Amino acid sequence: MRQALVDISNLHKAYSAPHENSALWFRQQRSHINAIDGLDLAIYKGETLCVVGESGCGKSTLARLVMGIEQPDAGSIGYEGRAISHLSSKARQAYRQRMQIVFQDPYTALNPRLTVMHVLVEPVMYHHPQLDRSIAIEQALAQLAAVGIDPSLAQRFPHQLSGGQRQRVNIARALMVQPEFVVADEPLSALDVSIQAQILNLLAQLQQQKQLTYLIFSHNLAAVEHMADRVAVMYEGKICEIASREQIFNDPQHPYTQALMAASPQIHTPPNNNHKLVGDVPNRIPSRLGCSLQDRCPRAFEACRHQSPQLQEVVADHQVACHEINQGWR
Amino acid sequence: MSKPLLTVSDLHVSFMSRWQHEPNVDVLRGVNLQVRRGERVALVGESGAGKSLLATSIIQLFESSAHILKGRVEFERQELTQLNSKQLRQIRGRRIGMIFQDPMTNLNPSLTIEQQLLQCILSHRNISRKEAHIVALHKLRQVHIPAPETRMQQYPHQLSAGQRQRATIAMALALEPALIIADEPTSALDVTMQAEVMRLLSHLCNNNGVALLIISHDLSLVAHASDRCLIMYAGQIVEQGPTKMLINDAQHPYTQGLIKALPNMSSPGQQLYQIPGQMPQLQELQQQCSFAKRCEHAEDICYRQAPLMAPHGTHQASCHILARPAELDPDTELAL
Repeated sequence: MRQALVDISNLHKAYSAPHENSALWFRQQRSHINAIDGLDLAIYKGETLCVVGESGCGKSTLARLVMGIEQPDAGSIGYEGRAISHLSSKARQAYRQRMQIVFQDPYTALNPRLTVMHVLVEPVMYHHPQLDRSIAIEQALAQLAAVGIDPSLAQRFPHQLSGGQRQRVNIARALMVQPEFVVADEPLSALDVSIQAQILNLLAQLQQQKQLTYLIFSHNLAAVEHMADRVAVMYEGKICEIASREQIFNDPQHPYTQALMAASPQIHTPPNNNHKLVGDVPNRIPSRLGCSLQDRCPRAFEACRHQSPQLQEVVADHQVACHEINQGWR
Repeated sequence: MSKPLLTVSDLHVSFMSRWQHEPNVDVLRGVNLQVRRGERVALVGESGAGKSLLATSIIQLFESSAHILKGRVEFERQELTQLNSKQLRQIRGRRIGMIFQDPMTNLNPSLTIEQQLLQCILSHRNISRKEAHIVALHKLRQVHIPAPETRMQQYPHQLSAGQRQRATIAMALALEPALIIADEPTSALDVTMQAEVMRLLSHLCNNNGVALLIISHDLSLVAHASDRCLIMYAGQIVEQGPTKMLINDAQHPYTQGLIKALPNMSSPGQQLYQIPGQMPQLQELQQQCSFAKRCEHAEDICYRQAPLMAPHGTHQASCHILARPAELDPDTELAL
């Protein structure tokens, strides 16, 4: 068994929210929304793990938990075998440098009052306060060149850059402190198709040069198919299927994965209406019995209403959480 | 062939600058566009190409700094550029429906779905509230909103993103317009919802004979949801034709680049094709092909003269290089 770089086990995170049908705020009953609901995931060194899922499934929460921006309610996150999820802010410092995040929206992730150079130099000076600033500036210029931005743009402010350039600056910013693990939360969704290709190429190239490990969140299946080594499908705060890229795209097992694949637009093949989900992404209702997909799944049966399915291996390295498949009902 | 419902010819729209020393920015530079009754037309291009401005120019919903320099917008035998604001209001909503990108900012957060639908219906049609309520309910059913009676009484924030977008589609359909303009209708939605909304739009247009102008930056999204496709670049249409032919036999280098850049066009792990450079500053382009700087095949003439739309292959494209096929083919060149 390979050693996992990041090991997430039985992670829980709930947010409190007003009860749906209470109109008066002072009489509101607070209920809990389980953003992450017992999630297990291992990320191995040097791989690209893509997590796909609809909005509201807890992707961004997971990214924030992994980065330590938020604290989990239960469960643990291990980094090279050491639990880091409940470290004090000071003890966490060493890990902050080793893991970095690229946020979704390149427009809001950069401080509008700082120049590109300032954005890049700041994290280096923060982690190495004794370092000479001119060295940091040199590193920043080298990093800009590495992500394909003309160093003459270093004195510009974010609003003077295009969307693709801003996303490159974001990536450069994350790489300034020489991390080994990079989390990217929807790095492509705010970009045009032609710019997406540039960013995908850049990410792949940087991974090769620096032996980075990626955890990428996305709902763009075409991009995921292009870059992932392994793919995890997330629904309602849980992983419902996880396998290698070939397995997931050639032989998706879970009804939700099949629906996602069918819905993804393809330029040469017409859309497939056979794997349609019924209804909408539900507003999360706390602690309900059974499979979270039960209301939308065309193949739900009795067991799905009572018991929540667990991830089980169907083939080597291909795990699915679905009663129908796990019990061999097919 | 039926007579076009909407004909945009040689439309030039420009943003006036606020300061004397800054030149005006010509965003649309001679756009020609036709939509027939019941036809689904897609308009594809990168952000900044002027897609949204073209959509809003048709019904003149653009901001006050934009203005139409020249060109005609003919819709149902009326010249829209000549109408005053009162006459335009009769067209907007009633004859041309509009669906915007983000349903959350498009709906009024302080009104229920019913109030918004009724407002829209009652301002155009002379019917009682009760009748309008029935129409509204019917429209919500048409767009497959579950439990429409309860949803009507709710506010936009209580609906999911997909339902909100369907409510705006219901609103656009409420007055039975002849044309619906959908400006990136699914970019705020997830893949499953995106497929659902596209299916719904296509289906409704087929059933009700409504023409549809879909604006998108994703060629694979409109590939199976449109009859005809126009590729827009830097304020001009660079290629147009029936969607299937345009995708299978793309002529213009820009269209070819857009298709090649799609992640599923190359095998996993391979380097993706990327169009070099980025969209030029619009002020710079006067007498040249707007794509010349990023084009692999660009020649002298591309920098000196703007190409014209001409038939190439199965459809039309505007490119100097295509206009001289002899030079692309080494055999014919030798023969000459």
